[in-house]
Amino acid sequence: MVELSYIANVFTLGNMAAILIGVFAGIVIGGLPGLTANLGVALLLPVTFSMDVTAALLMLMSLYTAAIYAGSFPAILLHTPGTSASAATAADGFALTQRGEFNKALRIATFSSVCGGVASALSLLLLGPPLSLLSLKFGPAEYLMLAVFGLTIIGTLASGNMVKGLIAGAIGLLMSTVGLDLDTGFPRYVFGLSDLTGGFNFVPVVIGLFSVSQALIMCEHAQSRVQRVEVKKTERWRILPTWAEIKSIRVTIARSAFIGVFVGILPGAGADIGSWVSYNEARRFSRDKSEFGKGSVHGISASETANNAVTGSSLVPLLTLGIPGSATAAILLGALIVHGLVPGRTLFTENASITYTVIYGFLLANIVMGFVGMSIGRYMALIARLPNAVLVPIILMLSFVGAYSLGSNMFDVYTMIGAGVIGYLMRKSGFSPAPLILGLILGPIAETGFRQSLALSGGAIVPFVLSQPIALALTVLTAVSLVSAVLLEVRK
Amino acid sequence: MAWADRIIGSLIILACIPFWFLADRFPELAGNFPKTVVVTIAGLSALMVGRSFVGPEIDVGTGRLEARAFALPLLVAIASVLAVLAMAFVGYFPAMIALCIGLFFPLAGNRRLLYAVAVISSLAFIYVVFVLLLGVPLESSPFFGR
Repeated sequence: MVELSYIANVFTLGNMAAILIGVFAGIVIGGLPGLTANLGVALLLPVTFSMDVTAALLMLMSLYTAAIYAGSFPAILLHTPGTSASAATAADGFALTQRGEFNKALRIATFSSVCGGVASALSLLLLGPPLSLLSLKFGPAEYLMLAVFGLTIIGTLASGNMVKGLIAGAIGLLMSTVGLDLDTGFPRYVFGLSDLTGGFNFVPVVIGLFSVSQALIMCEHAQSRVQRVEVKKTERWRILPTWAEIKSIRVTIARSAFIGVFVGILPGAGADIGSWVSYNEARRFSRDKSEFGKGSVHGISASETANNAVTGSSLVPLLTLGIPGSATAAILLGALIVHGLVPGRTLFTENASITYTVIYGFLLANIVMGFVGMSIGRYMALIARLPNAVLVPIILMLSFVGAYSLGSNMFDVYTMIGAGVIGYLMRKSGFSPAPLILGLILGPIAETGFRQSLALSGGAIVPFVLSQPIALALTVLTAVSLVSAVLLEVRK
Repeated sequence: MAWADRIIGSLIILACIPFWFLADRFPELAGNFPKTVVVTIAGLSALMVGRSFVGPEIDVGTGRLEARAFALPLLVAIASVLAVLAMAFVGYFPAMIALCIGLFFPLAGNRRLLYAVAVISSLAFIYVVFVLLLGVPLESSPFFGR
């Protein structure tokens, strides 16, 4: 009965509107080459502040999954993936488009994305509650090591360059110390600026690092525009795949959904990794390997199922333990905290109504996404051809208003533009902004764990941390992620 | 861009010095964590500088790397900073209109009509969503927001 009430909560006017807006915004953003799910979530975040927390989270998560799905539109129609997660779709999808079968490619991609998204929502529903029990065993040492592990994972595996990723994460940690110290009331690194006594707001920093920096990078190719491609139009437009098509790809979908869910749960491995692993597995299992790259429906299906299967499952470690495995998950962690929710067991007990409604809503969003996507799919090529010159001022205007709307405070806008310029320089020099954001978010958790561990251990923090079984396990995982990152760099 | 890593790494190490001394002035409870983080940053930066002398380069930054590619982003960044400063005095909409007009010639190229339509419709969208629906005080006023 309780479960039914959660499901019923999804169908309120506010929540349904949030899902529709999130899905629509996600499809537009994901459909524009160069714009990412991170940018979309960062820009939409300020809009959600005045909203009910359930609707806010539904909107952001709907945008996330829809943006990943919509990356397939330009990949199929224009041979230009909207997001890196759809890169594997481009060759097979565009080959079908050139043969005049773009409707077939789009409906296979859509059906597969919906299946992947639904599988990811189910994984969140089934794995979230038992894993969250682990968080009950967490004390100061565990929280300290959790923050260190989260930063190590995103700083090493997710950012591509271990040392630079770790530096960015540590700078984020240092930024989190700015402002009045909560225990002593001492102002730290405020340089006489009263606006800094509350510390850096995370939202303007996110908008600056992801949106403004992206706009500046797009300026480098201001006049670039995706080439117009002439395609044969031979088909009647169908929204759903035929029964024969479904029968042909059902095994590929099942395998890819499993791979996507598994890859998503691993912190640091994002939708693009899931997509490529699944594509390669589909090719390995295929009887006709030569069709891959030349219009294989199995290739499209594998890639699109897996990248959407990653979306929900990547939220499993985030919601249960507070470890975001990707940049988008890091922003969503910030959104949870802004809305007063703390990852862990309480999300599935005290805040169960919000959490389960959001998970069921996320499941519904994946289905809605399919219908909205197929309804506007044939027009997406027009949107995808918008030149950067037009997108840059739009991103800048939305970034300015997003930062200001947080608290009607000009200091947030200054922070946003400063973060934007720094983010641009970081990306030009190979530093990923994601670890910095995560450091900023996890900083207070890490510092509290550090202080309490220091107090409990009488100064001998390392032996104390290593004497706690879970903290020891997290230390081992941290070491493993560091070693694997070093090995990856050596291989490169 | 090994030279860039060396310069950036050295600058970060230099920046760590004042941050360390500032943290040293904090009460012990408030200073331990920042000091640990500052030392970590300096250590990792030293590692980055050292790494730039050994082995091949990995994961160079995003976008084009030739000097000419920085011109337009630099211009847009300066225009954006000026727009932020103007926003504090004239309000959001006049500042954004000025920014978009300022960027018209460098950005729009031969797509002027599309650029104008996109800017006007975005401003209308922002007005409806942020001013009318969310009640964010974006309207023009002197010393806006203060």
